[in-house]
Amino acid sequence: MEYDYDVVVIGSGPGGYVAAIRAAQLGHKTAIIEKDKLGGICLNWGCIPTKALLKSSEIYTTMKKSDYYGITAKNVSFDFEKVISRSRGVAKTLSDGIAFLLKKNKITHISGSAELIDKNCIKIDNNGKENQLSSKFIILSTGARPRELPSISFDEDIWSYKDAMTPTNLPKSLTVIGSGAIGIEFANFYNALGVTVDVVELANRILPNEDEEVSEYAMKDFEKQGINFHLHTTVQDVVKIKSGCKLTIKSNTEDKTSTLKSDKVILAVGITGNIENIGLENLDIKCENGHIVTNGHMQTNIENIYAIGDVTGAPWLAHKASHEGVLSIEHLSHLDPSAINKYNIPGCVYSNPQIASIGLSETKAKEAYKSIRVGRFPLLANGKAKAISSESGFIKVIYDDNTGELLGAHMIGDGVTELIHGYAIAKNMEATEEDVITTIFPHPTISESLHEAVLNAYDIGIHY
Amino acid sequence: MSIKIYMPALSPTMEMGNLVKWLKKEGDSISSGEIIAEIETDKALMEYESADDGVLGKILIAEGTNDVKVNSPIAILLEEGESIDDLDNIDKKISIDDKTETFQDEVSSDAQSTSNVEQEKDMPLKANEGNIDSSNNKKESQVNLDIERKYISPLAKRIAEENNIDTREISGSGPNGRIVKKDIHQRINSESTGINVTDHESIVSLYNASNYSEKINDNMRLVIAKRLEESNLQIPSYTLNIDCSISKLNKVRNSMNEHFDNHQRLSINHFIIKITSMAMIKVPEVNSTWIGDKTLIHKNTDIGIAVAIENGLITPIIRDVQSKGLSAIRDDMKLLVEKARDKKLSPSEYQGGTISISNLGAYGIKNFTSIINPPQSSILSIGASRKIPVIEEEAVSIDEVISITLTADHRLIDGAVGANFISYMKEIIENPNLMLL
Repeated sequence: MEYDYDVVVIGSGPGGYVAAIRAAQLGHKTAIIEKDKLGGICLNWGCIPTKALLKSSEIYTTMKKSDYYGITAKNVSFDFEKVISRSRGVAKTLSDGIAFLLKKNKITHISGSAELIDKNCIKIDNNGKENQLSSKFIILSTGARPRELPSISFDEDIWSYKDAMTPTNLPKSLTVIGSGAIGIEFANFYNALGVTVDVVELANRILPNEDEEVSEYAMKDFEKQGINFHLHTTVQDVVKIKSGCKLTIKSNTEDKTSTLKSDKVILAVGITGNIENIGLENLDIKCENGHIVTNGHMQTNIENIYAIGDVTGAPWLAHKASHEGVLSIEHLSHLDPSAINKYNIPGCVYSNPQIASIGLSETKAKEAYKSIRVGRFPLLANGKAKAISSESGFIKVIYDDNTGELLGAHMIGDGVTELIHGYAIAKNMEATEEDVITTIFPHPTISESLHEAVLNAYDIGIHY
Repeated sequence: MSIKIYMPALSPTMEMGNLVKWLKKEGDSISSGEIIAEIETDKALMEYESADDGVLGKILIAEGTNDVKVNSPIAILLEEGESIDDLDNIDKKISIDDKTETFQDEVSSDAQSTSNVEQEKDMPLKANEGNIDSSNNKKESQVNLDIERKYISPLAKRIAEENNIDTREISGSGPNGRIVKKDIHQRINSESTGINVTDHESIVSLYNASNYSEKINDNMRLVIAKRLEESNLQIPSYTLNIDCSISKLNKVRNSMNEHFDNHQRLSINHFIIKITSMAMIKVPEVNSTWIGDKTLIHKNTDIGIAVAIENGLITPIIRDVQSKGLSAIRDDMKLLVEKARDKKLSPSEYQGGTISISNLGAYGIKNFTSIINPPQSSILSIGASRKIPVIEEEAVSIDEVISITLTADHRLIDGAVGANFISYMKEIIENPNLMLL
């Protein structure tokens, strides 16, 4: 049977558009269907615009202490509207960039909502105008959306991340529910701009997916910056009052309730896959816990239909989605790609200080391996960090003592999100400690700390 | 200064080349890039381009010479201003197959020599280097002869070394066939379980999880898999098939069974076991074991009997069949089959032997082949007895036949030897009085 396309991708986020480009590169006749703006959450409402915001708050923070560097800057203030509009501008530029990339790769861009009719047929609804097309392979990359709590829904005062990055006015006070990467980034941004910020976290530490040591260090640093944390705490309800919101929170350790008042609330308690209204039920495509189930090559239970990115579950990361996009296309092209090793996916938090990690935490490594080696290096002992006064933070590595396999790496400090890839390469190519130890790192850079942390793990550290 | 032209290595694995043809004569001028000779490698006939300009001064290897070592000199190219006469000295020094030491000797003897020779002093050195290169090449190519260069991650390499894993046989699943940790772990795993796993994950991914159920392979299944896999991979086997009339044998058997109670009755199997033993004595190659550098030729005949049991099969062995009568064979077999079904066989009751017999006659199978049960050297597959019409002296009569198939290890049992063995079996089966011999 002849199909209209070889590959049709549904959703144009960092998973979808990358998959489409890879498909086109491999000579497949490719189309991509998007109901909203090209680039998905990442470009429009996630990774990119938040980084634009955080750069503004970082510059503001730096300028306030410019005197320390011998620079005089008086009456430092900010134009909130401009901060927001710069962020939107960046998102717009990049979204236009995707349109250019699609065109360059001769990928058909179809606007509208897609619904699977059968395993090769898709119905497209573009504002009531319906259309159908057929494709040999279909890639589902519909992404995910912020999760609501049973008793708390989004409204004008209870923000999702999308609302949080496009407010018209700066609130005076803010409560962030959830201390994952998204919650921490917004808490950090608003706190830096002078907003009173409270963070409520159900777990006994912030950033519960990070190494314990990093969580602890980060919390101390953020507290120093003025953020209030409520750990082990559940939000029971949010009531609207005249001056904003009143939250009833319950400490699970002390079993007592108290109230918190703030102008706005950001609800950042995870996300859930966009599995509705795309026709999964027409084909009995298997889903679990709000996400599509796939095998290691991203195939759903219908073999010509693949699913990639956030709609397939955690970790909800753009770079994981992109990698899965390439993987799915190479698999359907019989290029025999290797399945993703989830321990090789780095994760980053772009707060100030930044946090980056890959692989197992120390606790998990201890559970899984007979004997491990842990190396640490404080940025305080790094020359470059001292020179630029970025002495806060540390690098930590975990090795399997038996084989010299790098099991995990965790870091907190200025710019560490730009350093983690060094360990990601080492992990991906299965470098042993020896390969890192014999690598020459440039001086003076903070990256030398990556080297020293490994030296420390093997008791041959030079500067610490 | 003159330039020596060496036998080129035209492929990474090339060690020798045949100098098929010179396309230039001595005295011809050559410019770089010009084809000067045709050289045949193990893979192809290739043209050899000169890398330098000059005059072909001396051909050292005549065309039509085979097996010229890579990096041995094949000709001398003269540069501007040099003449063939200048080569006289060199000529004496260059002997084509010279070893490095010879050149070294000459270097030292040249040291006190004339300016003319001094000019060429580094030439023998070059040749010397050439020889070193060639020996290096050889070392490498010896290692690499059978395999391409292997890429392996540092971690995989270390784990392989610590576990004494030979990585040359492993195909890597990483980028560009790079061997990664997972491949080494799979190898370690397969060595301990006996399954040669290629990639569990990728096999599982081929099937829809809702359409199958999983069963853990028990140890017996793993042992069966390993042994049969070894057998199929390692034993160069062939099969021979013959039909044997059993009418006479059945007559003898029936008349004997008249003297026995039901549970003592002799079956065709008992006769075939005994006849197999007789043929093994007659053709001792069949009663042997391949050890690689030697062959064990056995004096006793130990014969395995394939017994289907729950979840698998096992071949208990009837020992010293050559010294046993039919009733002893019957009693042994009965005991062993019972023990096999109860899974009570001790290893000494199913290990060893040189041949096994598998009988699928009860299922109506006419004939079939079996896989040799290593370290045994052959296996007999016995089919169902069946009646056939026989035309004899223009009259049709009915005969009863069985089909016997021998699967034999060709390393021990050549075709004619196997044929001799199986046709001797036929002779006895068809003339059972020979069993009295």
